[in-house]
Amino acid sequence: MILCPWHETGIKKGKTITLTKEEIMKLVKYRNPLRKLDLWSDFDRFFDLSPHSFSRIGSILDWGTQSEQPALDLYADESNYYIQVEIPGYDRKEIEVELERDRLVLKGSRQSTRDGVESEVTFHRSVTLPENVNAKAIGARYKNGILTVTVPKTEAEKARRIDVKN
Amino acid sequence: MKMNELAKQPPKSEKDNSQGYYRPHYQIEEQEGETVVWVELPGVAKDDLNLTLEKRDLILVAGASNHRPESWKVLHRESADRTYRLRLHLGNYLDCEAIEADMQNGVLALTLPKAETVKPRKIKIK
Repeated sequence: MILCPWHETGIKKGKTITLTKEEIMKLVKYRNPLRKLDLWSDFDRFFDLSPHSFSRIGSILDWGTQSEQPALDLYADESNYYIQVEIPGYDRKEIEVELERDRLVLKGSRQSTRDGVESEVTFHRSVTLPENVNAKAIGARYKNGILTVTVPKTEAEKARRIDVKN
Repeated sequence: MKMNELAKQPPKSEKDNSQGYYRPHYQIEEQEGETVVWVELPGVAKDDLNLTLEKRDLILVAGASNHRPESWKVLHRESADRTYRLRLHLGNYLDCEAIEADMQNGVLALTLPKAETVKPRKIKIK
């Protein structure tokens, strides 16, 4: 059986070896099969999304104080990165966008009334920005329940992109 | 009891599933004189919203995929392009002729006044 070298086992690079079932299992546990399918893994590393959630937890309209982890999208064009979060039902003033060093924090808090009972609903997501951005020129916009944060790329980054094209 | 009557959903049809409709989160609140339904529709603009009344069924269809320019390249995606669809059967106690809809910050508020016949009336004692 030919296996890829794996540093945890001390197998020498390029060497063909035979392994027992137990040894194979030992290797397998270090491999995340989802990683291969993870098309944004490069960006995941870049942006270090936290917390990582693929679905909203419950409805914002449920009982009690509730913390949401809304769906978050990352996009880019030639000039900017864009971060979008689905947070229906907030007022613009109830949303905060903060930059803590290279970490962009998106959070908010609002009151929800259900059957006359007031409760607090909050959301929190954060994203680590890559190095090639102009943090001073970050802008945010809230429309139709979607928060869009625009993070401009640095001039050097834009220029670099143009060079590659030529 | 009346709330249940309103929230009663017709069974999901196969056709709905194949076309990728998504039932939005919604909440119903009984208030004096009216019933209010809040429907979460993130990314839906007022013009993308379609509300129709078929007899006593209120049908909502809304698309939410056009809040992003095509030049944006996807780096990471957790949201989904959805067509929302919600069908609410309105009980007899509601006045179907006087429904009001208000869309704000991705939440639709439907105000359904109660029919005059079911509103409590004070009876004067002679």
